[in-house]
Amino acid sequence: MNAPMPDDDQPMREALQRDAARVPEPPFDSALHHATMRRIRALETRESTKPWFVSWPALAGAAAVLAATIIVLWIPRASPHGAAPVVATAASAIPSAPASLLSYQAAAREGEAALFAALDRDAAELLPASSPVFNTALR
Amino acid sequence: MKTTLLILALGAFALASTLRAEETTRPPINPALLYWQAAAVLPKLTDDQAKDLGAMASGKIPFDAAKAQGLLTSESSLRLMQKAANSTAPCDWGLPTEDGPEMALPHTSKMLEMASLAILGAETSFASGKTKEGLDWLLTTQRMARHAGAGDLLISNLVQFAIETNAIRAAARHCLSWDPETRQSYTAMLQTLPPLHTTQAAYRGEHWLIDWVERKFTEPAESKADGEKFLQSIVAGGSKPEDKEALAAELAPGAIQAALAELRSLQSRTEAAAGKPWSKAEPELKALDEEAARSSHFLVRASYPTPASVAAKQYAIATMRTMLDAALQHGPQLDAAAAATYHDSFDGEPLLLKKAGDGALTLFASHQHPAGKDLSLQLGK
Repeated sequence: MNAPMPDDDQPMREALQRDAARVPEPPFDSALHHATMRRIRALETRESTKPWFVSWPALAGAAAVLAATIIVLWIPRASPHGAAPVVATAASAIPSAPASLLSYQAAAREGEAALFAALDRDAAELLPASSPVFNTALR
Repeated sequence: MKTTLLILALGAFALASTLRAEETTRPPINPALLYWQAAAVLPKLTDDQAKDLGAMASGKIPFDAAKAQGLLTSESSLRLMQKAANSTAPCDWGLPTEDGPEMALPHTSKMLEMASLAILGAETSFASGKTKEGLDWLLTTQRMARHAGAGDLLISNLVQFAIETNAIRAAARHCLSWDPETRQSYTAMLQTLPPLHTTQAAYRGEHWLIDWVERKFTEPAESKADGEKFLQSIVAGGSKPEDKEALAAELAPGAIQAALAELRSLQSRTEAAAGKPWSKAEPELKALDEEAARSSHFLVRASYPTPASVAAKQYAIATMRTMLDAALQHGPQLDAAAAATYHDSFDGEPLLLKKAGDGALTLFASHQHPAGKDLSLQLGK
C-alpha cells in the first residue's frame, strides 16, 4: 500500500484560511442583499432586450459584408436576360457632350421648354472666360 | 478726241479689273465665322441679366431701357453681328456630321442669345425715336434667324422659328406707330429676306443621322459601340425596363437594319408630307405619327419625333407673318373686315381682330397652336 502523497499546496491553503479567519465578517444585511439582487436582475433584463448584433459589432459588420457579397453574386445569375442588362444599365447613364445634337435631341424629347432651357444654359456656359493666369500682362 | 476716248476706255477697263480683283481677293465672309467672333466678344451676363434678356426679347416682360443699356455694352459684338447678318456669303457652320449625334451645335444657343440682343437693339432704337435704325436691327434679327436655321436640322429649325417669332412680335409691338411710308418700306425689306428654312428641309437634312447609325452597325471599320451609345441614349432617363430590353434585342446583329429601314421610310414620307398644304399635311403627318407609335420596332417608337407638332411650327410662323403683313398694310386703321381678308396658313380661315378694353388690338387665327393655345399677334404695346 502506497503512503499518501504529501500535498504541496497544503501549507499555503492553511495560511490563507488563517488570514481569512482574522478578517471580521459583517452581519448579514438583507436590504443591501435585495437592492443588489434588483440591480443585477435589471441589468440582465436590459441586456436581453438588445439585439444580439448590438453587443457584437464586429460580428454584425461581418454579417453585413457577407450578405452584400451574396446579393451581388446572386443578382446577375437571377436575371432572366443574360446579356441584356449590359444595355439596360448602360442606358441609364449615357453621357452626352454639352451643346451636342444628342443632348439637344434628348432635351427636345422632354418638350420645347426643356430644349430652350438647355440652349439658355449652354449660352451661359460656352466660351467661358480663360484662367486668370492669362490676365497677367506679358513681360 | 479719239485719244480722249481711248484714255477713258482704258481707264474704265482698269477700274473694272481692279473691282473684280478686289472681289476675288476679298470675297464676302462666311457669316458663321463672323457670328463666332461676335460671340467671342460678348460680355458675360449675370443670371438675372440673362433672364431679363430672354424675357424682354420675347416680349414676356416690358422693355426696360436701363436694363437693355446694361446688356448692349459690347459695340464690337453688335457690329460683328450686323456684319454677319448682312454678309451675302452662304452661312456654313461647318457641322462635323461624321461625329453623328455627338456633333457639337454650340452656335444654336449663342445665336439665340445674340438674336435676343439684336431685338433689344431694335427696342432701344425705337425707344429713342430712331425708327430706321430699329428696323435695321429687326432685319438683322430676321437674317440671324435664317442663318441659325442653316444646316437643316430639326433643332436648328426650332431655333430659327423661335428667333423669327421674337422678331415678328417685336415688329408688331411698334408697327402701328409707324407712318405709312415706314410700314411700306419695312414690308418691302421683308420681301428681300431669303425664305426661312423649311421643316421639310430639316427632315431631309436629318437623313444623314440614320445613315450614320447604319454605318456604325454595318461597316467593319466603324465603331459599333458609338452607334449603340446613341441608341441607348434614346431610352436613357426614366424609360421602362422593358423598353431597354426591347432596344437591346434590336441591337442584335442583323436586327438593327430592319428598324432603320422602317425609320428611313417614315422619315421620307414625313419629309414629303411636311411640304404640302396643312389640309393635306396634317392627316398624313398624324397617320405617320400613329404608324410610328404602332411600330413593332422599339427604336422607331422611341426615336421618331412627333411630326405633326414639329411641322405645325412653320404654318404657325407663316400665319404670324400674314398677321404682321396685315398690320403693316393697314396700320392703326386695321379693322375686323380688313383682317378677315387675310387667312391663316393652316386651314385658310380668315383672321380675327379683337379689341381689348384698353384699346389693344390682337389678331387671332381660328387654328390653335400649340394645341390648346391661341395663335395670336398683339399689335401695339
